[in-house]
Parts: sequence; C-alpha cells; structure tokens
Amino acid sequence: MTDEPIILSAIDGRGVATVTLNRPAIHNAYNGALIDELTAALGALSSDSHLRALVLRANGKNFSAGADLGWLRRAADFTPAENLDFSLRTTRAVKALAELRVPTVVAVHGACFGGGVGLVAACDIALASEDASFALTEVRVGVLPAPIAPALDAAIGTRQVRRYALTAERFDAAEARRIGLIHDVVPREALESRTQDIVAALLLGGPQALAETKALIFAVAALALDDRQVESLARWAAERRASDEAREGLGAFLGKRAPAWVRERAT
Amino acid sequence: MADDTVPLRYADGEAVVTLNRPDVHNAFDDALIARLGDVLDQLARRSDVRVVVLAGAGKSFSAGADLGWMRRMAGYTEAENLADASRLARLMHRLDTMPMPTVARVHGAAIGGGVGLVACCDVALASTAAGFALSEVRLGLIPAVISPYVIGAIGPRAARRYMLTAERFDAGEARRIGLVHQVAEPDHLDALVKTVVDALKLGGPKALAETKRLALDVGGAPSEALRADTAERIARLRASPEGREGVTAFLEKRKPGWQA
Repeated sequence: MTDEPIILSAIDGRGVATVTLNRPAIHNAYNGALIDELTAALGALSSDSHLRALVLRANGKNFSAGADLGWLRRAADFTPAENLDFSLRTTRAVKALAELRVPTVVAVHGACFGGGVGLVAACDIALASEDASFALTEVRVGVLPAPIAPALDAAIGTRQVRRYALTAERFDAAEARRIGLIHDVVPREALESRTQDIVAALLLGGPQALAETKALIFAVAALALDDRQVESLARWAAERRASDEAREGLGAFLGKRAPAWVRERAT
Repeated sequence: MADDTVPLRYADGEAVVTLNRPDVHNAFDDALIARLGDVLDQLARRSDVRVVVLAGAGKSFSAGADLGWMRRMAGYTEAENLADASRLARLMHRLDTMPMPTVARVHGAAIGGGVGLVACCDVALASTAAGFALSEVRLGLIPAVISPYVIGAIGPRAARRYMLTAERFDAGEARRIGLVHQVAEPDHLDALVKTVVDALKLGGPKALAETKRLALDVGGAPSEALRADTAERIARLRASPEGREGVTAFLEKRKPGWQA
C-alpha cells in the first residue's frame, strides 16, 4: 500500500482551496485519521490569509460512505474516554467545515451516506451530479447521527430530518434538491464546470463582505455551535455507540447478517 | 399627486402602495424610505384597510439601494451610516409587522433591499418576468437589515447560496426556495393578486391580525436586539476600506480591487 494521503489539500493563485477525500478503495469512509487530517487541512487553510473559497470533493466512485464501520465497531470497544474523544473530533470537524470563514462549495457524486451527508450539509453551496444518492444510515446499525445533526437541521429542516434520519431511506439527487440538501443537480460531466461557475461567482464578491455575510447568516439563523453543544452531541453519539444495541448493529453489519432487532421481527 | 414617490390607492378594503420612481427602477433612498414608512404607518392605523398590496411602477419592482444615496453614503461616518441603516431596518420591521395581511406584487426585478421588501410581505406573488438577486457582496456590502426576513422566508440553506454567490435567479427558483408563493404570466399577475386579496378578505379581520401575530410569534420574529445588530454590522462594513472601495468602484463603473 502506498502512502497516498487520505486528504488532499491545495490552494491556487486565486485563493481557491480544493480539499479532496482520498480513500477511494473504501468509498472515502472516514476513520479517526481521516477526521484528523480533514481538521488539520481546514485549520491550515483557514490561517492562510489568501484563502477566498473552498471546494470539497472526493476521489473515486463515491463521495463518502460515511463512517468506516469496521473502525467504528472497534471504537465501540475503546475506553469511554477514547470513544468520547473520537466523537468530539468528528463533531469539531463538521463544525470547523460549517463555520469556515470563507464560502464553501461541495461537489457530490455517487453515494453519500451517514456522516458524508453531514459534510455536504455543512458546506454553504452543494452541487450534485445526477448519479448521486444519499442516506442517513446510522439507525440501521444502531448508532446516532449526533455530530452532523445541527448541520442537517440547518440544511433540510426538522421535518425532513425526522423522515430521513429515522427511516434511513435512500434518496436521489432530485429529492436531495427538493429538501434543500443540494442546491443544483447537473449531469456528471458538468459537475466540475458548474462547481467552477459557482466559485467564479463567489470571487466577484468582496472577501470581507463574504466573510461577514456568512457570519451574518450564522448569527441570524443561530447556526454556530458553542463548546457545550459540541460536547453534549459528542457525548450522546459516544454513549449510543458503546451501547449493546450499537455493538449488535455494527457487528451484524460487519458479519453481513441482519441485526437481532430485524431477525426478531422476521421470525 | 403626480410626483409622489409612494402613491396610495384605496378601494373596498384593499390599499395598493406603489413604489413610484420608475426612472431609477424604484431604488430606495432616504426620502423613499421615509415616505414608504409614513404610508405604512398611516395604513396600520386604519381599521377599514383589510389588505395591503405592495407594487412597483415601471419596469422593475425595486432595484434596492439608490445610486445617489449610495454616493452620499460613501462619505458618511460610521455613526451616520448606523442612523441610515437603522431607518431601513425600521422600515423592514414596519412592513413585516403590519397588522393586516400584506401581498407583494412582483412584476419585475427585485434586487438587494427589494428582495427584503418581498420577504417582509405575508404573501408574495411574482410574474415570470421577475428576477431576483442578493447582490450586496459584489459591492463589498452585506444584506444586513433584510437578512432576518430573507432568511425567515428562504431559510439558511438557500441564503448561504444566494447571499454569497449573488447569482441572479428567476421567479420559478424564487418559488422553489420559498421567497415567492406563486408565479403567473405577466398578463395574469393582476388576476392572481386579485384571487389572493379576495381570499384574504373572506377571513375575519381580527382573526387575520391575530393569526399573523401568531405566525410571527411561533416562527420567531426578529428581536429588537437582532435588528439593531444587523444595522451595526452594515454600518461597520460600509465605513470599512473594502465597503468604500466596492461602492466607489460601482459608482465609477470599474471593477473593485478584489476582482482585479
């Protein structure tokens, strides 16, 4: 295995950064290391005074499979402190992306599940190709989408969260646009050019005006999370992940069998 | 009155308030803001007015801030800018909290503050010829005092796109994101307005007023503190180097420094 970075980050002469999820072999599923690299990349970029906009994209067939469930199952056996620490890092990464001071654009292709949906919701402007599909799959393995819940609620509203976070149904790009997760849907071959159109529009805005407009929206809609909220969300996710039900759900998924609560109903 | 910038027409419970500076696309300056505020204050006190319709004369609904006004603002101190922004904030609040139902008749372009007026009305109806943009950032400014109402109408998700990209969008998209409720061909806009006004007049006047207050209370109408905060934000930015450069470049019809 090569040492190819799992997060690629670059910034061009205009101040446009591109951050790429780069774990295509497992559909860009995230573990603690990917979360840490994403956080580090966002931190480095945000301290660059030339930064004007950020594009988030993914390499490979799919945008993101969400959390790496094999890794998550091991995390369930961590000490309570380690388990909480992982949820804190995840919650903070989503917060860092959502609250990045410059406008963010995400380009989604292929499947986007679980925490991947949270990354999309955290960006200011979301574009998807027609082949994109989405699902909030957490409940099917007995875990909780707590770290991404505020970003989701802000993007699609409580009404839609109540449906899709509970049913874990898969929905397509058109439905994602209807509920507000995605702003525009384009053919796969137009995704990159449409992303660059949005970036070009953003670069016409005054850099300070853009940062202040983003801060204004967060203030008016009360979107920013404080430390207490971050800690509370992380604790909730960690406790749920360490529960018997989550161990069963994650174990069943990895063992390619139905979890007990499905088998019970089927018999 | 021929030169009135905000003429009022009243008949049978329906008051039609028209922005009437068609030569400048009904852009607003301090005079129009004051006049529109006075007209709305008068209407708010009248028990015979059951519905208020807000319309624009000429080609556009409202182009937002007036050029001459912006030119004067460019020389303002932060304190003068704050007084100015506060007056616009009060106008938006006045329109948003009119005791009777309000209907926006959007027949043409609504830009910047014009979008704010649309968002402050209870029902917004647009022609397919209408176009919308939150263009402030292109001038180094922010859509500050209108933001509580615009975000209330379209939600933070659409706001994050259109307030940041300043892209223009059409009536169909405006309807999809919730800024306008219904769209009609230009020739059918007045018939659509009439349908909605007639429907509103079937409601009990006191029930309508209380239902509107209920909707504002439950939905979380912007607090006085938030309204003051948004005015302070724009006053600060207008007096900043980027805000001055953006407005000056626009007035001089050149690109601002950040686009070079």
